[in-house]
Amino acid sequence: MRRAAAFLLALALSGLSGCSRALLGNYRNIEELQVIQTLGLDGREGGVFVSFSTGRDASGREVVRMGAEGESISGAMQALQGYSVSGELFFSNTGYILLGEEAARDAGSCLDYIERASEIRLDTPLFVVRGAEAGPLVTAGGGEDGGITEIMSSLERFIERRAAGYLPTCADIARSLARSGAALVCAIAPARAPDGDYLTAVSRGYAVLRDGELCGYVEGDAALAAAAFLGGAGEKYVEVDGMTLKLISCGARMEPVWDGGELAGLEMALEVQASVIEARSERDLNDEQERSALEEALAGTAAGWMREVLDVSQGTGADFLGLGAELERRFPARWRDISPQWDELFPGLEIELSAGASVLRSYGFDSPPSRAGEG
Amino acid sequence: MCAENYNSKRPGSCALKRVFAGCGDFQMRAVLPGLLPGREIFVCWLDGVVDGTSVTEDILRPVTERGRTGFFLSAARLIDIIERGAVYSYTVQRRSTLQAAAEDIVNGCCAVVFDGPGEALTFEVRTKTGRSVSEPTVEKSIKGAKDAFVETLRTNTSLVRRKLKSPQLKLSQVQVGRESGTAVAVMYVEGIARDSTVRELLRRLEAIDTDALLSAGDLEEYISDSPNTPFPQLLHTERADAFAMQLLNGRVGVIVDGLPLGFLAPGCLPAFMRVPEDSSGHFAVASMLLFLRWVALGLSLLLPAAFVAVSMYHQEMLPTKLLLSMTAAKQYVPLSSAAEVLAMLLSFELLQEAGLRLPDPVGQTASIIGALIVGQSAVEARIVSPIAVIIVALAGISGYTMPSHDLASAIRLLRFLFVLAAAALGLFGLMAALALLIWHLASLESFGAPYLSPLTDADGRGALRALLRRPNRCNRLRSPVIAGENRRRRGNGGEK
Repeated sequence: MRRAAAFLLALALSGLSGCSRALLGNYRNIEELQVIQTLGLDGREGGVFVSFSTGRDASGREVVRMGAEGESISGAMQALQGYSVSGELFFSNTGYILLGEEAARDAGSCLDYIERASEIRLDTPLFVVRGAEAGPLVTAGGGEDGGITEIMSSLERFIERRAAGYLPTCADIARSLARSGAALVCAIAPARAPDGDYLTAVSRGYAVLRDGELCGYVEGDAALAAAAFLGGAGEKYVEVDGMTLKLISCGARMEPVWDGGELAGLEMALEVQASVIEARSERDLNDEQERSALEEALAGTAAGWMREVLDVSQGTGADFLGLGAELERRFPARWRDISPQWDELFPGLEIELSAGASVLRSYGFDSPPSRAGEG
Repeated sequence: MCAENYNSKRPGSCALKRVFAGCGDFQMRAVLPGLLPGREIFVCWLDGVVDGTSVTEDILRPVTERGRTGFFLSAARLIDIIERGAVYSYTVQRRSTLQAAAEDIVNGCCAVVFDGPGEALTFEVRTKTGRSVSEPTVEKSIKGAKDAFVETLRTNTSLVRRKLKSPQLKLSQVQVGRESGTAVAVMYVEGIARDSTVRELLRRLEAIDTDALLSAGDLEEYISDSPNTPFPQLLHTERADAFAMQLLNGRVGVIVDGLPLGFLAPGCLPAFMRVPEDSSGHFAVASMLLFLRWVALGLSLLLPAAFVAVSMYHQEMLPTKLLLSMTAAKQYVPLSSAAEVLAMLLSFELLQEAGLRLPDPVGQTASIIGALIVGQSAVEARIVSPIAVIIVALAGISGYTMPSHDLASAIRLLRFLFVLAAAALGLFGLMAALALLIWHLASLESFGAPYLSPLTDADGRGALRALLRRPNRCNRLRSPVIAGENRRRRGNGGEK
């Protein structure tokens, strides 16, 4: 009993300490929160423009969209808090962060803020708005009835399932920058919706960051090859020789070629598996030669994607695939010798590519309608 | 006219009349042994407590039968003859003190009083009227035995004897209560129960100094190790099979005359989470249900407090869609999350209490009206948010899954404290309250057994034993903290 009394006394006394202010200061009424779901960051002359959009909830509250300029991100956020029409701006559940292209040129400082901000989660996906600012997209995206958050939500699902497949978060990007000095960030571009007069966003491959700065883009289907190396490509539809194929899996691996203790080059292999889902040309896939031809064509296409990715990577000197980190992981002793010259070595490194493909299922396209009944 | 000393401490007709003065049900009849004049003896009993037919047929008839008792025998010889079988009764006690004779009478004996030597013979002729053995009302049995304890001590002990037909099943009886004189039986299986537990239990029972022992709460408070804790420390059951099962686990049972329950010591927290039906079903199903009960315990205790902490302090822990849903639900609600949860918990308790106190048909109506007002109307009027109603209802329903009503009551009480702690300090307060609770539970002991056993057993597998019901073949040994020397429950792992 005496111990319990002592404990309770200690608990009561803790109310006099500085901790209690921190604890009690955290009190917020949940109904007064303006839950920010999409945050936009744009670089402006001598400052930064921060915009946000809240999510739509079941109570019928209007989506709040706003933007403010400040000398720093924190300053702009504080200005926004002052403009807030009702309640407290709540950034902890931010679902998407959009960087305008200008801000992406200095992405390092934005990422630095995000990493240090206690109210923003590191598992938030980051996007670069290609060739435009994030502000207009955040404050006007989706038109009057919608919101940028809904657009980003469907875009996120699309990228993960039907596009490149790899959707890096702030944590992934920060990790890649710290490890390899380069990273890929999902790129989007503003566009007009085909069925309405409102601003929307479309996927545009990946933006390449090197040393925290935007230095290029990986575009089109080449993004698939990058995603295959970084975590797994999505089930995208690709057109090959008049047939539409759905990618089932797309994996890549790398092997170094050593010349004594020296790194002579790299061998990269891409393995693609796909299924036929549509055929515009008649092709009998029961025929071994025709099937092999299709698989070779697919492999060639995949090798082209990979070559494109490597060209961007070596051209910009941005090892966003983490090839150096992979070498370090597998050959730590040799890496100690290579690492000082890696930045100079990497752009000119000879990389031999190979790709293999297999068509797993043809869903009845083995026998085209015109040949039905034959044999 | 009384021939004996009126103030005598030895049994006599006048002394008994004095003792039972004002007792309208006290009956005394003077009879002549063998119908021979000269020496009167007195037959005394309490009407209603004894069986009239037995008094007539088994005592009055043989005592007054001509030639059955000797002619002109001395009083001492007469007492001896009656004690040795002249009266048909399966029990006889020779009492030479007034108090002993009076106690026997109130306990359902008929006393034959001899004024001369100041002695009495008492024969047990207790009435057999009482509630017959019936199905358990609280601990429903699906596949188990249907005989539940009744209010008669001897019936209850016989029910246990029928389950454990072993001379190792021992029964010690003590009387508790200066006025009630309640018989309390302590039952245990010698060798399986710890001697120290039996001795300590008997010591505590004998040390009870009270007017009466009429309720289960009285007994629990008197013999518990820590009467101040709201957590129960004595298991209780109304099922004789469950009682016998626990005796075989090494526990010591207590049966109180007048209470249709059997108490068992020591009582540890995990034991309160089990029901007798656990051993009737398949071990996998029983394990699932047992685990579910533990989850329900956590929900019942922590859910309202966690809701308060998260919705007031740690909104960032919520998934976005849930946060938006909760934000929407709380719009225009004037009360803070803590206030609305406390209000709902209070309403819940009020409804529950009202439902219990009112007669059944009225109680149901009150519950329905109350639930409608408190639930639907309060939400529609935006006095509380729907999610608070859901949280409190979920916590309440989870509490009903507790097999022990006493444990559920303790959880109900602590729920309020946890909500207050969470409202004051968020998750920090909730965790501090939880740490205090664990500390409190870990400091409790019941008759030498740690209250959290087997969760805290040294072999590390205690938690598994507490959370799951193992197959019988794996359950070979009794708990080392509860059972005595004989720990082996079955041989060869129960294999055929």
